[in-house]
Amino acid sequence: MQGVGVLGGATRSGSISTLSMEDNNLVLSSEDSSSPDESELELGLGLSLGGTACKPQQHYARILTAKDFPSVGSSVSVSASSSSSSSSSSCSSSLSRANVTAGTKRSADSVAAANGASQVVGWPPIRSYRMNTLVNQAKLPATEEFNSLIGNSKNSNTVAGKGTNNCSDKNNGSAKENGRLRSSLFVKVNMDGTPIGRKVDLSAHRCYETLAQTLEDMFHTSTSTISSIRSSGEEHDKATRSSKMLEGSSDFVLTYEDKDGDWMLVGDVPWGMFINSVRRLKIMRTSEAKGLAPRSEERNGRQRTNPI
Amino acid sequence: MREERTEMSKDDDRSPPLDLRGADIAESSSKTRNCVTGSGHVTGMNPMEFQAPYPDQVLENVLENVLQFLTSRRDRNAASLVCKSWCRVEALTRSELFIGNCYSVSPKRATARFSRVRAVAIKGRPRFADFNLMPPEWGAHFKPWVAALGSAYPWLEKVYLKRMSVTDEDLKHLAEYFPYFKELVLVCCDGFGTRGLAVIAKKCRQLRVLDLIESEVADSDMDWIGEFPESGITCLESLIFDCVESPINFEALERLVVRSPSLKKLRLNRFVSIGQLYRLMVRAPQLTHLGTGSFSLAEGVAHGDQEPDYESAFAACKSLVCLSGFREIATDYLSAIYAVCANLTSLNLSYANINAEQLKTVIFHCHKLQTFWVLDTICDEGLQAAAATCKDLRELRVFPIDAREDSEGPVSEVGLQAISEGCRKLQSILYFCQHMTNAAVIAMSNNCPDLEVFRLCIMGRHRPDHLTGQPMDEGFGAIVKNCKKLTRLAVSGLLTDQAFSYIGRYGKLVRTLSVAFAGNSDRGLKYVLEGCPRLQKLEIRDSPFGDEALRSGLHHYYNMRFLWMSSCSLSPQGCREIARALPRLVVEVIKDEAEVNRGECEEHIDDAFDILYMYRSLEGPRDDAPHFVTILH
Repeated sequence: MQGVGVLGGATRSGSISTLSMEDNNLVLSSEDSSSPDESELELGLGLSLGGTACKPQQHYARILTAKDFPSVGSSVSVSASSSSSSSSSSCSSSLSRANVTAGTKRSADSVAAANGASQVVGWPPIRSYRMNTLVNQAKLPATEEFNSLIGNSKNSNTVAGKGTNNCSDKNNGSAKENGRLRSSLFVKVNMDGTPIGRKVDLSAHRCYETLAQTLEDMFHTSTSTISSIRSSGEEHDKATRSSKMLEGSSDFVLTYEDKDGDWMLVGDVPWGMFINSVRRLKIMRTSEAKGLAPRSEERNGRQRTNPI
Repeated sequence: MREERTEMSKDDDRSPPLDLRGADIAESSSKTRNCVTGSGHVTGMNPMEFQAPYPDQVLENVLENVLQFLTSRRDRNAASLVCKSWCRVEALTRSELFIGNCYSVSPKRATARFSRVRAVAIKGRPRFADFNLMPPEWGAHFKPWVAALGSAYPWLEKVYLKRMSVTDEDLKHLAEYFPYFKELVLVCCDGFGTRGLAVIAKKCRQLRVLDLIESEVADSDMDWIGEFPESGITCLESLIFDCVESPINFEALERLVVRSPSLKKLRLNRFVSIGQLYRLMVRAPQLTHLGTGSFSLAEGVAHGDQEPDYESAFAACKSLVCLSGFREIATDYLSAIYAVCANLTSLNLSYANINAEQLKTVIFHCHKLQTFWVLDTICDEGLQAAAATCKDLRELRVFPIDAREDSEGPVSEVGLQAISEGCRKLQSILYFCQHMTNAAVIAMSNNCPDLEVFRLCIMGRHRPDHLTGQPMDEGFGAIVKNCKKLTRLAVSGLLTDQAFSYIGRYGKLVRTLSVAFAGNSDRGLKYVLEGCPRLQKLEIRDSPFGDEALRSGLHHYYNMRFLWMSSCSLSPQGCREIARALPRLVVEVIKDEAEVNRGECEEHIDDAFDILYMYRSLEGPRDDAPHFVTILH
């Protein structure tokens, strides 16, 4: 189950219909989702219109921004902008009006649904406490494919793939973590070979399984290269390379950059520690990740407690 | 319990238009400025005004004796407006202070006016902040309050906080400043941890109530339960900690329960197994409110024949009226609760993943049920069963197990229709679903005339009536038209300006309105701002309302507690206009820090923002605003 606040999360075929019915609102079709592919747009509030990234060295950009899709939030005369199937030109014009600036970020989130992704921040309005509690209870589908990405199995007891969720730590008294709980903790996620990065709200997760599930959904049917895996989506050049990624082979591993700037394998440390030190995530090719020493290498023999 | 209202104008001697029934704040006119406090000096803002000669002392004493019986804060607000002497006496006799927005009045001003307060309630963050729409660290700190309360009310007994940031330090001060402290209730709060709880447990010897409800409690690895005094009888009446996400010292809890004969309310967290629950229940059969914790076996414990007799434990709790918990329910044990069902007035199964059949076995017994919270896993069929049995139902909340827009919708208009037909006394409903029809909503509006709270969340945004393809305007229109007592409304689904036209025309008692992904144009918001005189709290997201609509509410904003608008079509200039027109309004524009926080420098228009949050205040711009908040002027 996806947590609240995952930006541009899972895509689902068929949910596009939710947005296509009404006249006055944005008419989006699946074709639209391909447009951000070309334009690398920063999700800034401001005027980085199509093509310019704020920081050139950060070549990844979010998939969707309000600039692509003049959603209900960003344009007063919605009818004018909704008539076109959101091309960059129409959104540029709607946004070039200096006075329409409010909420461009959040409406971008709502636009993520155009892709069939239902990860709008704060919608539906359920408190994260409830979301997380129910996630812990829900039987997650086996995430075996992704488990190969998560660390080198020092976390044998968290590699679920059994249909039950090990997140919920029933009575394990030692499952303590630094409880610095924030209401949102967005970090960027990039995948090798994919120019466009995403963002995920880590505070919506309480364990590695749900994060893995989210990332898997995020990257498997996005408009980027790995869409071919799930037998839907577009053809891309790099399909062959990435098709193996999530199917259990370990072409890719999930890594993160911590506070000190070091790249570590995800899954070694207790969840709470991970949350406190992670700055961003990257799905790296295994070949490139070989140099990474997991932080807990010296704790090889230590039994890992179930992170909550 | 109330808050002070913004003065419309210092020199304005007439009472500004006041809607006494609806407003939960008092007009603070020039009279208030000259109220004499308990210590005899004038809290005046205008040094030019003389204090009137002391009125008839006898009359005041009589008044004091009479006014002390007024409990409702609205009545008190009204009484304080009669004349200066009534204002003064009312301030002396008010023992419960309610601050609906912690920034509307400063601790100093509040404590200066009301000198004999024993209970304080303070609310902080706006509700939409609960859904990650705003960066954390926005504010609503309890710290300045605890300091002021400490010096003004050493006899303070009760503190109720909602959506405030409370630190361990604050809790420590609470425990230190108030030797008679009895009740602490923290709802949707954060910023503290088990360390703070430990101090409260240890030092507040007269503690009767410690309720933590839906709050985020950091795990500082402290055995806070063990900090309660180890010997002697405690006066504990209520201990609610089901939201605490860390294990507790069960043995200490058991000893505590044994030593607390007055304990009536106990809500355990999910780290308490059913076996442990049993041990507690047999020691506390006097409980009226029970939260069962996980309601499943501890890890490593097998389903065996040595299991305690859960049924008799429940049967022994003859006073049990409110049951909740079931955080990780093992459904085999559900039958244990049958014995108490007949007496239950409140049942919360909203964390229990049970199906219709399982629910039926329980609900069949619950004839007296008035409050029912449940997950949509029970499906329409489960709701039909509830409707058939619970004729006295007043409040229903149906939560989604899978809160996504395109998930399966186990409940629909069928369930809503059934409830409306079976539960005619319904007053409050919160219903999450994927699909709805106007017909079902209209039916509810006709069948349930007592409805005061109607919150329907069709999780798919912009979704029309799934049978007719029409917008949901008519359904919500019927609700505001037919439910004459409606005070709170949350709308969803595909809605045009027409829906808002209905709300403005018929929603004369509506105080709280939540809008998301709705409307076509400025007219929608205008209808509401011009039509709803009792509107106090308006929260809107992702709707195409702009500056012109915002302007149309100028006449009303001083009457409101707050207005929240995020991802709408507002401009900085538009908001600035409001700030300039209404000097007593604090107009905050908030940028989403999630972007700013990552150390990236993003080019953006300086003025751009995500959220407009504005509220009346006697204090002007707050001084604790974080960097992502700009206060316009």
